[in-house]
This record gives sequence, C-alpha cells and structure tokens, in this order.
Amino acid sequence: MGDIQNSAPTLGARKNVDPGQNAVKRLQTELMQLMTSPAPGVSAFPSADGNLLSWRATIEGPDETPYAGLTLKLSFEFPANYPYAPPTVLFRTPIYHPNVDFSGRICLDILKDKWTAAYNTQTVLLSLQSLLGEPNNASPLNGEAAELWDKDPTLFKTKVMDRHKDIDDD
Amino acid sequence: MSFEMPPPNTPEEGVAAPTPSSRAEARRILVSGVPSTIYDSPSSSSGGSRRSSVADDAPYQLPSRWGHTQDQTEPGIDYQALDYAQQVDEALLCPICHTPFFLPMTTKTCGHTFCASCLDRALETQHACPIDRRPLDISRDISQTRTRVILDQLDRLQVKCPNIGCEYVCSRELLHAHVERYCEYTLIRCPDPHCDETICRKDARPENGCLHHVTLCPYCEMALTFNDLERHYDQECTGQEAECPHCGAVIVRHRLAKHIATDCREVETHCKFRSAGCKQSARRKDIEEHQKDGCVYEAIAKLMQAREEDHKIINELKGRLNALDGRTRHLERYGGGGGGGGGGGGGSSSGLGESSAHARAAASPSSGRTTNTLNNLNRMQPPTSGYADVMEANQNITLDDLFETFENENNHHIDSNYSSPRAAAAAMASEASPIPVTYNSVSQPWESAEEYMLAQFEAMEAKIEDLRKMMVELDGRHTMRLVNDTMRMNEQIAELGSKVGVLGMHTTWLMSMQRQSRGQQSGAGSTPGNTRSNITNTGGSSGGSGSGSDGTADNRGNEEGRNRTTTTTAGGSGLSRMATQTQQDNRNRTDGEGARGRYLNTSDIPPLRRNSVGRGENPPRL
Repeated sequence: MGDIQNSAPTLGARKNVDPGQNAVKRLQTELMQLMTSPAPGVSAFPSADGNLLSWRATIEGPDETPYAGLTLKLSFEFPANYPYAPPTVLFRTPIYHPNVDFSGRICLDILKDKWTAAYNTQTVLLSLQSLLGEPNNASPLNGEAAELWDKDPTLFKTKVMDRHKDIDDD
Repeated sequence: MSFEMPPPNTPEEGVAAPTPSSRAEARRILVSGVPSTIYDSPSSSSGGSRRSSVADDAPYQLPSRWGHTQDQTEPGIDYQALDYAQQVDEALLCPICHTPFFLPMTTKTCGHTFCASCLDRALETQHACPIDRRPLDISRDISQTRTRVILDQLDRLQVKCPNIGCEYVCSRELLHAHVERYCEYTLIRCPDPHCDETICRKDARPENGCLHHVTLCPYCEMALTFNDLERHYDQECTGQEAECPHCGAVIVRHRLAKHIATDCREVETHCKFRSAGCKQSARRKDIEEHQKDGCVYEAIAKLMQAREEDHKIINELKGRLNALDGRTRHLERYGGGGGGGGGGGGGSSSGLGESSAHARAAASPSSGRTTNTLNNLNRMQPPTSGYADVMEANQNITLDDLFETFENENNHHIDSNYSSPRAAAAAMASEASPIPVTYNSVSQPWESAEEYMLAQFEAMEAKIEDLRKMMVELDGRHTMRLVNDTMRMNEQIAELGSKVGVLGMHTTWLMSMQRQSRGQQSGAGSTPGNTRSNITNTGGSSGGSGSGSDGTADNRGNEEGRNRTTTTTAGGSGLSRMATQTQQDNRNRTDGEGARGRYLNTSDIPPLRRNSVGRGENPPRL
C-alpha cells in the first residue's frame, strides 16, 4: 500500500491532470485508511485491473441475522466526481434481501439522494452490513422477501441459503 | 467586488468533473474579490459588521490566507494533492477530501469544518451539511474558520514540494513562496520568446536556449522534447530497463547506479561508523535498523572525531611554538635593541597567552573525564570554576598560573616530570610577568639589556619546552584513553554477542515448542499460516530489532489463530524487552547482573504453560 501512495503522481503543480484526479486521490487515502484501520467484517480493495475507480468489497453477514456466516461480495464503481456523487454499488453474490433485487441492485437512501460527500467506502459498507440485519421493508425491491422477513423467518432463512452461492473472484 | 456564489449547475461549476483549470479559474474569480488583509485586519475579529457589509454581494469568501491574487495562482498548487511529510492528525482532515483542510470553512449551525472548495462543490448538489444533512443557507450559515489554533496547526504541517523532482519539505504556509519564487522545478515560461512551452526554472537559462527541440531517448528511442527527458526516464521509459540485482526492482538503466548506491534496501552495505571500527555489514534495511538501535561504535566515532579536533589544536600549537622559537632565535641573534626587545617580549607573552588558552582547551577533556561526557571535548568551557576564574582574572596570564592550573588538573600525571623545569620557569616567570612595565621604567633589576634579554630567552625556551612536553603528554594520554574506551566497548560487544547467542537459543527452543504445540492442536487450527508468520516475527525481534509488535498487528481477524499466537507474542514481547534490557546494559554495566537474572526468569517460565492457563486472553499489545 506504500507503493500505491508513492506512485501517486504528485502533479500538484502541473496543469493538465486527468479529470477524476481528485476522486483517485481521495480513493487512495480511503484505501490507506482501510488498510491501516480496517473495520471488522468489511473489506474493500481496488479491482485487479488497476483502475482505482472500480473496487471489489466483501461483507461478512452479521451474527444473529439470516446472513450469519455468509460472505457477500460487492462491486463499487466510483464516478469521476466522487465523493460528490455516490458510487454505484452492486451485490455480486446472489442475495435474498428485501432491499436488493435479483440483479444485485440495492435500494438504500444513502446511495441515492441521501448521499453526502462525507460518506466513504467504509461507511457505505458498514451501512450495508447493518441493512442486512435491519432491512427497510417499507420500500422493498423484493416484495416477497419483505413479506417473509416478518411472517416466516425460518422460510426466509431457507430462501437466503438457497439463493446464496459463493462466487469466484474474477 | 460584486459576484454571486455560482448557483448549482452553472456551466462553469456544474460540469460532472470540472477540469482543474476550470476549477482554478473559478477559484481565481472567487478569490480575486477578497481583500488580502481579511485575516489580519482588526475589523475581521469583530466579524459581524464586515460580514454584513459583504454579505449582500459575496455570500461567502475564500480566505486569502496565501495571498492568492490572480498572478499568484499561476503556479497553481493543488493543495489537496499535496503529500504531507508526516502523519496528520485526523481532526485536521477534511471529511470530504480526506486531506488536511485548505482554506477551511465552518458551518455556523452545526460547527462542521470543510475545505472551502470541497464544501463549495458539495453544496452544489445539496444545500445541507455533508455531515449531518442540516440545511445550510450558503449566504448565512457558513463562515471561514478563524480559529487561530486550527489555522496555525494547518500552517505548520510539513509538506513536500509538489513539483516533480523537487524533494523540498517545508511548512505549508511557506510552500507557496517556495514554489513561486525558489523551487528549481517550478515550470515557467521558456526563455525563448518564440516558444510557448513551459520549462523547469533550473533549465530556463538564456544560455541553454529553448530546450523544446525533439530528441530521441537513448534507451527506448522514443521521440520527445529534450525538456521531458528526465521525467521520461523516471516515469515511462521502458527501453533498457534493468533489474536491480539485489532487490529485483525494475529500474531504468540510467538510474540503476544511483538506486544501488542510495536506495536499494537489499543491497549489502556497511555501517556508517565503519571508520570507527564497526564491522557490521548487512542489507541496507538491516543496517538502518542497526544504526537506529544505536551502533556501539557511535561513541568511538565521536571520540575519534574529538581526537581529530584535538590533533588540529595540537598541530596549531606546534606551529605557534615553532614560530615563537624562530622569533626567539631571531631575538637572540639580533637582540640588544631595547625597543625591539621590549616589543619582542610583549609579543611573545601575548602569544603565550593565546597558546595557553589553546592548551587549556586541549587540557579540558582530561578534567571532564570524571563527568565522562564526550561532548565536553568540543567545548572550550573550562570544567572547573576555579580554573575559569584564574584564566579570566588574569588577562596577562603568567606562566606560574598556567602551570599551577595544569598541575591542579593533572596532578598525578605531570608532577614528577615537570617539577624541575616548572620551578625554574616559575622563578623566571615571576620576574617576567611585569616585564612590559618594568623594562621601560627606571628601576631595572638587570645590568644590561643583553643580559635581560638572555634571561628572557632562557625563560622562553623553558616555557616552550614545557609546553611541548605537555602536549606530548596530552597526546599520549588521549591515545591511552581512546584505547581504554575501545577495550571496554569491545568487552561489551563480546558480552552482547554472547547474549544474542543465548537469545537465539531461546528462540529456537520457543520455536520448537511452538511447533510441537501446533502439532497437537492441528485439528482445531484453521489458519496455520497466521501462526507461522508470528514465529518468524518473533525470530526477528530476538535479533535485537525489538519489534515484537509486528506479531500482534497480524493477529486481528481469526479468533482461533489469535488464541494460539498468544504464546508467541508473549514470548516476543519478553524477548524484545530483553533486547531493550541488553541495550541498557551497555550503559549501566553494574546493573548487568540484575538484568540477566530477570532475563532468565522471563525465559524460564515456559510460555506454553502460561498460555494454557490464560487461554482466551487477549494477546499483549505492545
């Protein structure tokens, strides 16, 4: 990770920096922070292709939720004007959850209109982790899941386990 | 002076990702209207009136702390892209860009602080505080941060110069001046009036002419301007890359020699106290560790340096003595002229005064020996106050004083050798001291000028001879001391060596115990790799690096692994404590026995047993 910081081009005094330079710079500091003081149960790292605007992340299912023991993988795509616009976050692991649809899209206010520039990857991951245990059943993307969550936790758990499938990293 | 905060999504600011130049443009527009003294003007403290007076026109302003005027923004330092030389306190980081605040603004309603530009952009999309989403009115609820404590802390942050190639580090408030005026790597206009390109200040000499002619890189044959060649070597040149034979890093051939000489962490190198006798040679990273932990030869190196300085003084004294000798001989030959003799006498006595001051400097270390601080060697300050009094009270120092003080200082060293010449010289000197007065006065104790001069010469010669002997003596004693100290240190080194050997044995023992216990517990283990890495760490710390904490850092994550590694880390911390202890031994050898006792105690307790009792305890954090 030292390498990443050292290779950061110190182009401060040069004019023609790429657009998105600020986003990259900010993501570098976030990466440093994630490496030096990781939060328990979540992790994130830029995807292997060297594009710092695209990250892979994992969340461990919190205990005492239907997702306990599962490892969920996500993808983050950061816009060039990050952090002023939210990243696009998708679950790559198939997940059965009231606020996640079958293609992995997430309904979470802080990833949409409630986003502020003070959020970062780690806070988003922690929010998602708590979303696993406390879904917002008022605005479900998966209506069946929202219904089952209250009515039949056992069946919900079974559906979660049926849907869950560990995926390989690409 | 009248401008509006650009409303969200104006063409200038509302672009998805505005290019830096347009940002700079915007900032320039914002800044140019700000009075440059806003920070220090007395009225700014009263705040309200000033704000209300400007508030109609300018909703909020960027503080002009760096005196950014239109011209000065030209080098365009991107303060948010700076590399800081040290870790910055998290409280000083902007929550948006995660870099130290630049031109901080604070919200009045909730007291959150952001960089002006970050807040500016965040408010484009949402008129609320980015931290707590409290609604913010741009024109009323934001003010520049005026807390001096914060601003001063920000000013004092050490930053690296952003110019490529420049390694200058300064406090942030000075960076602008550095880049603007002094930095050799700042891009300025090409001196050629027909060329519109920019060029580093160091290359922009009229005699160089325009460097923007196309040339070929000698390694990859890429066509580029001469000006870009250096950067090209550093960043992109792929041709003729060479692999560092030591660390395997791939570097442009052009830079390889420099890399091996100064950077490569794996290359074999010597301790910087090699000239003092340190035989240590290891990879650079280990050597750095070694030097950081305090090379035992450091003291010797200091001694040698002090000795060299003393040598210089002695040589100077010798030169002076020779000159005096010559003068005495000259006087002997041509003496007799009353005025000449008097002048000569006065001259030589003052010369002696000076040389005695030097002798005093040379002598001070021996008296400073009791305090045993090597630094005293370099100080001219005499160590005993009585001595100082003598020297300062008598500006015309008599030989008697000189000898007396020397004798006081070096009683047992000189007395036998020097008693006789000293007596003679002192007898002479007691007469000689009032020379300049008595010679010209009527009451002459001598029969003739020649006789007087002869007596003077004899006295002088005696003095000179004494001085010379003293210097030889000093030199001898110095050498003796050096040898003595070296011997002591050699003993200590041997002792240390044996201790390290014992430590090594203990480590081996610990490791084998660990291996056994792992064999027993292998059924439960899920991450044996974790444990193994900890063993390696412990091995490292027993080498004296004292970095047992590395082991604990790895421990997070797996609970099972953590419990089992408790042994190793406990052992590691014990060992590193021992390492520290052995270092202390260096200085305080009398304590050595106690330390060894403790050390045996620590290692005698089989750590495994401790672990089996305290299983589930958190590993000790160092």
